[in-house]
Amino acid sequence: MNTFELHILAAQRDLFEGQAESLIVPTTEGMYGIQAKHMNMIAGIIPGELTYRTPGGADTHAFVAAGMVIVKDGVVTVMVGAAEYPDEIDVNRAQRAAEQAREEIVRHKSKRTYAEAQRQLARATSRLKVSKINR
Amino acid sequence: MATTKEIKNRIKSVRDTQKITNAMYLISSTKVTKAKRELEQTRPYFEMLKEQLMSMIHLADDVKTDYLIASRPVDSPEQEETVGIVVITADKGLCGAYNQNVIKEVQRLITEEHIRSHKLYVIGEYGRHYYLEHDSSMDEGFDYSNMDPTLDRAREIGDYVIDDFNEGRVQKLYIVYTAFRNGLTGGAPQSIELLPFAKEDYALDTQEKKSLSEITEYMPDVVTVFETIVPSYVKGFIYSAMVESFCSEQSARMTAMDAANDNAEELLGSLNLEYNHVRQGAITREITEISAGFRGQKRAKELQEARRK
Repeated sequence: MNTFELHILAAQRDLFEGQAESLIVPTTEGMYGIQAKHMNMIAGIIPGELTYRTPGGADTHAFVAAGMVIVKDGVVTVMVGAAEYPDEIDVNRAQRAAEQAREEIVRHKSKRTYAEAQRQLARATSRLKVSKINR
Repeated sequence: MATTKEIKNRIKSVRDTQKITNAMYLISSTKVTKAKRELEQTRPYFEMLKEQLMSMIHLADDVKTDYLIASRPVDSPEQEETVGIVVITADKGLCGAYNQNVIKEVQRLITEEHIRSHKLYVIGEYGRHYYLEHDSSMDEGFDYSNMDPTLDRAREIGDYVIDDFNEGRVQKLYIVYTAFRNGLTGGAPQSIELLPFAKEDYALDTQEKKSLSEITEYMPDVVTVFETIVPSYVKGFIYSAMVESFCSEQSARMTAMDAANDNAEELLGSLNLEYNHVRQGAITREITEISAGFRGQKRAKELQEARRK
């Protein structure tokens, strides 16, 4: 299978750099798959689960926060605010964040906390979901 | 004149203060190194983000979003416009004119840009206390510190101010921070417009524009992608501004503490001199007293013996 160059860049670390066979990212339009020789494109990423397959290897999953994916001349770059492999996710922290966010949504004191809580909940539930992979 | 005991106490208190200022100096220097290292880690990400954003601004002639305006109005501020200003100050003083410089810069911005109505988002306790007393337009619910800046905190701050922008509570966003210059000069306060972006600031000629526009297809469209990225970029900018301010604060504190150390050294020198002076004086006086007493007794004895004869 054809491979392409993949670079996953988070704000505070380089998650992955190397050859990949395929990539699935959560975009604003839903899950989006990319393979070699994809046309040039840019799409927005929302918090969720990212999957990439290295040549001959198995799928690798990771949690990603909001950002973007860029395909340019066969090189794929994923730029996100945060990215974590399943075993790196702090489950307790994510759980706490989710509970806190749910509570704030129920109480919805103001519009601001509501919007913030929703974002927080989206991040926390995606983290929890990804953390259950490979367990 | 002070007694030796008093001077000794004074010397001890100066020594103790010097220990504190010296410790603050050392702490500041390690903090600067740490904050700089963390900023360096995030640099590649934000550099790339910026690049993408710029190219989008160029080719997106049809982008209609609140985040982007074609050009800045020249000297004709709209009446109803409220300008949000993020102000980064320290949590405490003891760092020379650092805080004052930031506050002055805010004043300058307000007068020179003819801002009639503003809202202040103040980071750091020093600024909060100042504006609580001097400016009623501070957002009091906005309570953040600039101690050891992290990306997480910058995100929270970014979410807060971008929300206000999206909801129309402010029509413009500025940030006032202290740009870090290496060395002992500390930093220079600076104000930058965060939002909206003005297309004219990133002008390109048509040739460059053409080469850019051939590259890419946006999914689903430029506006959506643009609007997803802008908050990340703004947060990144806030983070780097926080780190730069923090480094400036620490280096200003280092300078201040260094001066305090030197001053303590000087004070100790003159106090020691005074102490020795007083001590020597006391010894001399004692000797004079003893020898005077001895002489007095001797004379008394002589007189007694003379009378006996």
